[in-house]
Amino acid sequence: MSARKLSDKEFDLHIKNILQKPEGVLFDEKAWAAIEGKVANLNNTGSNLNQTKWVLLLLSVILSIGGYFSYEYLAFNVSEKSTERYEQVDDGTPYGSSTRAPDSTLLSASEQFNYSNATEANKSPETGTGEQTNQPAGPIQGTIEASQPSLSITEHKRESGIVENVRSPYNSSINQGKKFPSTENSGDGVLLGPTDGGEQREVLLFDSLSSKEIEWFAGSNQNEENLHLVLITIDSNEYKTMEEDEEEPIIRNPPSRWNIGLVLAPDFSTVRQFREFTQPGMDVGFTVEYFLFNKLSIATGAILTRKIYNTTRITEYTIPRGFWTEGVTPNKILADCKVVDIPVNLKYRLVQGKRTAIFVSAGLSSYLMLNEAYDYKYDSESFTGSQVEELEISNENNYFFGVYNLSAGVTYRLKSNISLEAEPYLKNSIDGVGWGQVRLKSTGVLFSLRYHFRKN
Amino acid sequence: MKKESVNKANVIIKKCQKKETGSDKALYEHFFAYGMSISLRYTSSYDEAIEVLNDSFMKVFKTIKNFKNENFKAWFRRIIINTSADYYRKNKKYNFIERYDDGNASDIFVEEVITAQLSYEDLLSLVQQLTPSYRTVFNLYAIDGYKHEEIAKTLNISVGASKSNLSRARQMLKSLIKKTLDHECKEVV
Repeated sequence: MSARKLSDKEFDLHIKNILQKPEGVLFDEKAWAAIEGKVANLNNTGSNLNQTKWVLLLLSVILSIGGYFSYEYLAFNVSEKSTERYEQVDDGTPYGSSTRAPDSTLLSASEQFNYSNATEANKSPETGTGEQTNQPAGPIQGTIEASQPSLSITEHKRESGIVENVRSPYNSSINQGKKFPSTENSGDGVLLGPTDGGEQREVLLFDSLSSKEIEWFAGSNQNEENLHLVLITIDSNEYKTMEEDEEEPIIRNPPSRWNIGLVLAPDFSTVRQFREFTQPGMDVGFTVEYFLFNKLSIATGAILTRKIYNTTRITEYTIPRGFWTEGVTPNKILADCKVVDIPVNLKYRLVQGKRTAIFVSAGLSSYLMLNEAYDYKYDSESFTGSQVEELEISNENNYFFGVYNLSAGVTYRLKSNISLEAEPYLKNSIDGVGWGQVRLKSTGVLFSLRYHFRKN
Repeated sequence: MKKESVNKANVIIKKCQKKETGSDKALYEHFFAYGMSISLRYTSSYDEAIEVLNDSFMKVFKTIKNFKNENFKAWFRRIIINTSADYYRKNKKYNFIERYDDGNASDIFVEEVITAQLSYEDLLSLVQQLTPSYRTVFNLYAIDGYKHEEIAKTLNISVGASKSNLSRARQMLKSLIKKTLDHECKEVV
């Protein structure tokens, strides 16, 4: 047998010749099965993640539409939560309930009634005299023309001097008026806000001892003996401040749709069960919220978070093959990652009270991994002869919209511009994040201090 | 490639481009063995090779409607090599240890005849035992005909690293071959 040293070129050629003639590679049905699904999805133009995004997008669109319609619906129904064009908002949201104060100045009780176009024929039966006119009350003349409308008041607060939920037949969006006591020329009345774009105001006079149901025309309510129904148009220049025995309502600029908040949250992370978390990290950051509709807002921000988790089951990780050289796998992996979490969430206020509100929120987060540090602990000696190995990755990986957020919370209005929020949350990764593509779950409570901007 | 085989392949490719049902599986089946013959030598195990092959096939399926080239096999081969290189680059940083041969192999006297007696399967398993850097560079240079400059660019390493990895790959392969053959001789005896 000849034996001579091979040149590199000859060696390479020999190897190549053998390797270029593969034998024994049979088609593997399982291998096809592994990608069959992905190929099918390819044809449907959508991966799992894309589908999730579309579903969430669709949900948010539906929620927005639903929110818009519910807002519109509520605005036209008498309810405490509808918007009022001169409503002052104290809870810091652009729309909202609680104490509403009427607009600027109001009439003084003892003057400034111009009985314009009020004729005998239009007066309702006199108070206290028992007389009744034979004529049914005609349409109210003056600057408003209407035929037989009816007015209803569903609530009457005598003590505060505010009559709520008054719906004028002439302008359906008015629902609050300031009450003033009777004068010798009139009965008790309710001063309603200005009609759209105009200066004139409506005054409804009614009997303060009467029941809630008031109608314009005495003719249609014969029990209202003491009704005086007069339409008065008042020139805005003649307004004077009313004598108040209560606080002057504070007039503020209307709130804008924006608010920002500082956020602090303890965060627990794990890859499997929540009882396996090690220690909480502390998150800090800010969020910005924008109100799309009455109760629906969208929030985003940036939160610096530290994810600390461990696992003893190495199967949690999808390890790149060949990583564990010599076949030695670690027994425990400790992870410590600094991440910037950029959420995009939709928040919906379920319940709105005077100062507090309850909301729910859902959305997606992107994780920008600033630093990932992993410790691998081995029981037996690894090939390097040491017990612990470390891996550190800096600023390499980003998981855009790879995490979904679910939360619910409570917001408490401290002052007109400031509120506090507590929001327990749950985050889970969609496809897997971090080295090894683990299904990282996090939970915690987001505490935020929010400042509400106002328009100028 | 035999002529009938080429025609059959072209038919399947055209069907894939039209997205006929079942065409993707047909393409996969037809080129499975060919693809594996490449990915097996770039990876360290059968499963890894399947992974690389499947990733390559996904790329093929995504872009096949734009494929106008005559030579599908060459295109496919290029994709697999690139996927293997991507795979290598991604996992490169996780290779803590570059198992450096201690230099014993540098003077190994390998007989031409003995080398020729190695079977495909034997040699493949030896190649798979090389460390990723050695194996990838060796494959690219010795079998797929890449030049050192091309290798350096593809793998994001220096030309010098490419050359030294190549020579170490040869040494290591030779020493592995020798070990295998020594065992066989001993068994025979």
